[in-house]
Amino acid sequence: MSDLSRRKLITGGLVAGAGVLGLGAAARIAQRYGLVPPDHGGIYGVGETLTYASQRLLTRHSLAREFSPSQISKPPLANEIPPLNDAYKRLQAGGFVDWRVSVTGMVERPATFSLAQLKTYPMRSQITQLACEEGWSYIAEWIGVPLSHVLNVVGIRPQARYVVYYSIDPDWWESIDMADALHPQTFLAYGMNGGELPVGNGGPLRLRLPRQLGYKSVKFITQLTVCDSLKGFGKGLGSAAPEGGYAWYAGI
Amino acid sequence: LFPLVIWTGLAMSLAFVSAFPATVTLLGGQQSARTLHFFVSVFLVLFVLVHVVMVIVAGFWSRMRAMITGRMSTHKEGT
Repeated sequence: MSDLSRRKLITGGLVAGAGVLGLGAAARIAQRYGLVPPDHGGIYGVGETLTYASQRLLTRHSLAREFSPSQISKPPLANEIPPLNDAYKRLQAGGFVDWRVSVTGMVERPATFSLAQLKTYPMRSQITQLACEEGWSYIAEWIGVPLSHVLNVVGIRPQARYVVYYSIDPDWWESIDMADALHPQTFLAYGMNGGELPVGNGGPLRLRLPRQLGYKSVKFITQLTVCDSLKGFGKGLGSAAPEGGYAWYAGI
Repeated sequence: LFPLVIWTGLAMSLAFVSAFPATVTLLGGQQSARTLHFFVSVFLVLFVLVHVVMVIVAGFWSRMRAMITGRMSTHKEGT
């Protein structure tokens, strides 16, 4: 015990105090700069937060790799999809003419778009890889309108922080932060490899998010909601994925 | 093995690769990184198992005592 001098006790106490204050300040700064994911609680929460924060700092504006047309996978893998509901089948029977996607929430001009309307906006295409949590991946050309363009049309309010998007299947919904929502490679995709987007790949309309795993690229999009907090959606974890044990942020 | 497992792991990160594409292109694509990552992880598990077996063969309790106390009890080893 002779080692424990008063001086050591005081420095130790000060360091511990500074550490606690530093952690508190770090948490507050991280919250302020949007570095805390909605699923930050639980056993994996710390890991999720570190992944999300570090990737947001390192890769906010980076672009996913684009491939050459010769590298497109043939055939594009259409993974198994849950049985489509009656609402989908009705729209499919009508050739998706009546397919609508509504944009609501913190926007100046809430609007509903048909596929034909979306196709009047500047068309963009990207040849990127879709990689799934399960391990498979494929490269395809995705054709659509950048989500940022649609968000500009409706006019997002300054306090908006997330975009929640819904499939026609109500159990299937996801959300992304503004960094991803306004990213130039985030599309509302309606075409693939020069043609229409097949049903198995999410046709007629799929959100395409090449910097995250496939489950964030939700198929059969019918609704977008812009919001400043994800607390009121589902269990407040941000999307359906963390409710099922997956990560909300899937940049991996 | 550890640097390799970290490298191949990062090569499968879509966001990381978007910022540092060389991590995956040097490995020959995401699926190659995935295959390498799998086998490297198997080797790491084998590495742990082999070393645990070595500890057991060399005398489990004396090793444990040596690890915790920092002293080697020589009288048992000598006999």
